[in-house]
Amino acid sequence: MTFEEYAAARLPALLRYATVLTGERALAEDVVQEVLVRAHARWRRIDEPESYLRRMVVNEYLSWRRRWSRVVPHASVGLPPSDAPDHPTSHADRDALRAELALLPRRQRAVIVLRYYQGLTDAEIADALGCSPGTVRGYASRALATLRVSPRVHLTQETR
Amino acid sequence: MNRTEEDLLLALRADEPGYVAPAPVLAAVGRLIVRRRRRRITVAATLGVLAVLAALLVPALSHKPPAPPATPPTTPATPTSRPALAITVREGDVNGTRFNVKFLSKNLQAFNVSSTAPAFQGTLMVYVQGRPLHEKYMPVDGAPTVTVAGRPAHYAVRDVPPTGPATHRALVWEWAPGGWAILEQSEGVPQIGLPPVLAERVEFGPPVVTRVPLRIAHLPAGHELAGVQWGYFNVSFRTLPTGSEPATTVYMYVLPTRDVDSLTAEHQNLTVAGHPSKWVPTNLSQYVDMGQCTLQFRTLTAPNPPYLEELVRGITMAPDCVSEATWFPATSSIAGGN
Repeated sequence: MTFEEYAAARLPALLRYATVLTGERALAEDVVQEVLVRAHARWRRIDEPESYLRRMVVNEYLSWRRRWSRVVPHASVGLPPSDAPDHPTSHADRDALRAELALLPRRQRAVIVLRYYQGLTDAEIADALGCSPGTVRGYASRALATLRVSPRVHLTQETR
Repeated sequence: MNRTEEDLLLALRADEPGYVAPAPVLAAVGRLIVRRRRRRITVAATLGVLAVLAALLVPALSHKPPAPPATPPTTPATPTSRPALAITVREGDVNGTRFNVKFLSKNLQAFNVSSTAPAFQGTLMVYVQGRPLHEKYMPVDGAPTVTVAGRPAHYAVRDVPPTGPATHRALVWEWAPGGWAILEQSEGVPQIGLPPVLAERVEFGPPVVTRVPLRIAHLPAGHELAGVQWGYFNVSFRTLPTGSEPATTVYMYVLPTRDVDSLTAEHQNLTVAGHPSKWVPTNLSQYVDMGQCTLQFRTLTAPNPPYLEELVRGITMAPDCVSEATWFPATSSIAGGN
């Protein structure tokens, strides 16, 4: 598959994923744009573009947030209105949860998104972030505590 | 407040946009690719001018012997004719199938292979003559018999899907007497069978030197080059201690420094051969900052292993280590690459 074919077919999915990861549509577009430009230069060496690009998006987001935070106060980073269909219950709390997610340190947020939204195992997350599974569990634990989310008992590392 | 993981998942999904507009992003990507390509061409042209100036200033450089006539591309190369970091398999597009070098050592050439007709994504491995076939790639009972360019071939690595007939992930043949070639489909790719026509697109020719983003003047005593791998943003080198037991493998990756920046967790600041360095115990890695690119040494059990200072002291980075246009020929730049 050529780069152009891949980009045309998978760009919407990448943008959705990056938007969830970053919490901001504009930032997601910037991150995906940069990732695609860099992937184009290396396209013929990329074995599995799907997992590779998603990993690039995470790393680009982590470094991007660092650069971004130098010039933009963290508290001013706002959430866009959600495009998701409305749900009858828990709307207010969900918005509160989204706001709290946006305030998480970037690596904690990345771990939460990769674990719950992407459904990756801690080992896969560790590989993507370049750290150990123990570190991933530490980030997840701190993030869940901050968000006041009770992890399910049966969702242990062994079963994930 | 008792929030559950389901609440968390719903909150994340609420951030998922129902509609995205890929067209403006795609257009911006196209513009940036063109702009960066122009910048690379400018750099390459500048280097070309410098090379011409050097040739004029040093007359000996312009008196190279004429290149030997090209050998027909399908002639198999003998093991002795291929330097460790050169390829004898034709790279690029061959009748709609792309071959791109992935890994080289003195015994093995490996290539990423992708094709649209027939659809295929996987790896080609070409071993030198005399290397025994790995047990994994031995013939599978009951597999159909095939030939590749008139030579006997066989299928290996049987997959038994939950439904449908068993398939085979690898096609194995002798590219030359005693020299095995293996075409293996990637894991996770739907099986389409492995028609011998794909293997027949593997063409051999005279050695072609590959390029790398750095020079390694010498390897530390007791180490030898095990191979070079071309990856996403890295080129890795492995060295094997030859005089100690148990042998450990040293992996070295070349990464753009901007990518490494995001990977630094808890670390200890060090210096290696005058370069700033970080030891990151959670990665079992030591990063050595070489400017535009960083060297990552894996998989270490402690910082500053004895060979590191000596190895790094002999390393010179390419002028632009993320642009292949400025990379060095591997055979003459990597100690042990010939």
